[in-house]
Amino acid sequence: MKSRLKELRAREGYNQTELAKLAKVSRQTISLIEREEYMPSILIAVRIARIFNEQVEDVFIFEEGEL
Amino acid sequence: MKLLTKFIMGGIIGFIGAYALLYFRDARTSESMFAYGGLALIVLLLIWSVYLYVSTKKLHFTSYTGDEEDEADEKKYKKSSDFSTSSYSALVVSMILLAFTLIQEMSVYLVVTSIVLVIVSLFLSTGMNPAAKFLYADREFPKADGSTSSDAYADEFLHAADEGERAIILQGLYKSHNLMNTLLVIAMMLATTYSILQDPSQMFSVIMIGVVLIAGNLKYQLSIRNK
Repeated sequence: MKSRLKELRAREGYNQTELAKLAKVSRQTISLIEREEYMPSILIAVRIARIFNEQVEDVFIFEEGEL
Repeated sequence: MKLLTKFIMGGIIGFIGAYALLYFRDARTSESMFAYGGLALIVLLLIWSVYLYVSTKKLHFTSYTGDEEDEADEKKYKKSSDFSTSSYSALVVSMILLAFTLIQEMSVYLVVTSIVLVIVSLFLSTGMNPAAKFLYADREFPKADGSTSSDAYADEFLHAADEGERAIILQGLYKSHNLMNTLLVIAMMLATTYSILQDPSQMFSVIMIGVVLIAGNLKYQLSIRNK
């Protein structure tokens, strides 16, 4: 799974700590997702997508073989 | 400021080293060497822990913005983790020192010093943990109340952590569980070899290690078999 989190964060001007507060998670969780070391739950994925006004599948991108 | 801190730390370490050397000069037996060496190690670990606590506190009360805020948080996290390692190591070494001074029937001064160091280490590793004070100040983590090993505490603690943190905890615990199993088996083999080659039998230790191995694995299997 690829994530556009870093790019979207830069677009909106959020640092990891600010995004973490908005998504009600820890900064460590945001960092893990950005480094693609952790796949978030549906709840967190939807929260993050809403913060950026994006669809979940536009923030977290799966390759065909993964689905 | 960093240079000054390093200078002060160097001075403290140098003083303790020189002080320990003066003691070692009079320490004729290997028991005294071991006891004073342990004492010096505990003091160094405690000083290092206090330094980590103070620097975590300083990071917490300094305002950062942008990427610096993330970097400061990462530093706080690492320093807090190093604090836990350092203070817990001080606790374990001070417990070993206390056991050693009691078994070897060493001077009352050393026994009392060991007891004081156990208490200080215990206070530092539980009551002063910067993670609870500065990293997760806004979270509702369960109060330790001296029963951090209970199931209820573990459930509450994991409930307070978020999903990313739980993933990190799971990875760390699983790896440490496997490492602990391997190390305990090695310890059992070493204790058996020692008992065969040397006079004081380590049979009690071998049995205790076996009991710990069974209890640890039983707890793990009971946790996963009913899911």
